[in-house]
Amino acid sequence: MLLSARRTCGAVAAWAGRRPFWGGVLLIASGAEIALTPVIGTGVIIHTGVGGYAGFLLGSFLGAMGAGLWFVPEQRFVLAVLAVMAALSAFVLSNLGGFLLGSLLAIGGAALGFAWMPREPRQED
Amino acid sequence: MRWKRFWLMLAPSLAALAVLAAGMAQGAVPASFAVSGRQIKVSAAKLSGRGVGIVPGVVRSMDGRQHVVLHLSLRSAQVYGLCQSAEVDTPLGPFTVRLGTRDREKPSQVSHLSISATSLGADVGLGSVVLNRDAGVLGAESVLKGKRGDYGVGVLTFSARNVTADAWMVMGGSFMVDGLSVAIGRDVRPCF
Repeated sequence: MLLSARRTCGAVAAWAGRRPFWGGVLLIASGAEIALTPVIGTGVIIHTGVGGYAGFLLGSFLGAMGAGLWFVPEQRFVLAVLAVMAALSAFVLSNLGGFLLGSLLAIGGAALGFAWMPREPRQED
Repeated sequence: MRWKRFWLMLAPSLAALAVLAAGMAQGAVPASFAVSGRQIKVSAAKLSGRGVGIVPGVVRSMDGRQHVVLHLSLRSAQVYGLCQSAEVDTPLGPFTVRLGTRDREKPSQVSHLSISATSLGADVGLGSVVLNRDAGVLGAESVLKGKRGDYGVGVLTFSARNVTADAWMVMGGSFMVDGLSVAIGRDVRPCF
């Protein structure tokens, strides 16, 4: 039981090590935050954004970019640039990007994804 | 990780964000506002100040509907007994959120206050009233500008008692509130 748990843990860590894991986590978190800010608001909140739809669209877009970093890490440069664009649009269009937090998370996540490199096999010569 | 690349991406992005924020603060980048799909109640025991403009306008709520309102903009005001409440639906049923000042004797200083109201009631004393002033010149320093050629009311000084308003939105350039109390609950009383 314990052994299998440890093995699962190790597998997850290995899986995370093969991709820009934390960049993806930050992007997905930022997407959720931007998309959900209008929903979980107190009801008296002023929602900036084109009718609030922008929050859902940009939030899900950022989430998709995060998932993309996980499952298509080869495309990380394009994904990261697109994510930064979405984060900046969200800042203007949707509650200041989830009250700034969402946009900052997304930019941080995109930069992490942009900077990630696959671990190169150790060179011996 | 290539940390140089990390900063290469982060720095220009944050710079762009800062530019957007600065532009927005100056009103260069239009932030389109939508209000939540419910009305709020705003009341004050006493309100006095300078520079009032009342112009007609339209606000949009989350569900895309538009609501005709009166935009009230006050350049500066002293508010006694400020209160604002709204009903919200939660999974546990309707609750009331209420923000207010604890001490009714202490004034709150407000500058550039804007209220988008559908109905407004108060006992008022006004000084230097101009009815049917062009709406385009009223509320010039607030976000809610009137349209040129629209009906507007301009007031230089005012004091009001027992102010009650059904509003869609309240914006304050700056609020200085002593002893703010926030309450949410099923048995919290709305402001009026």
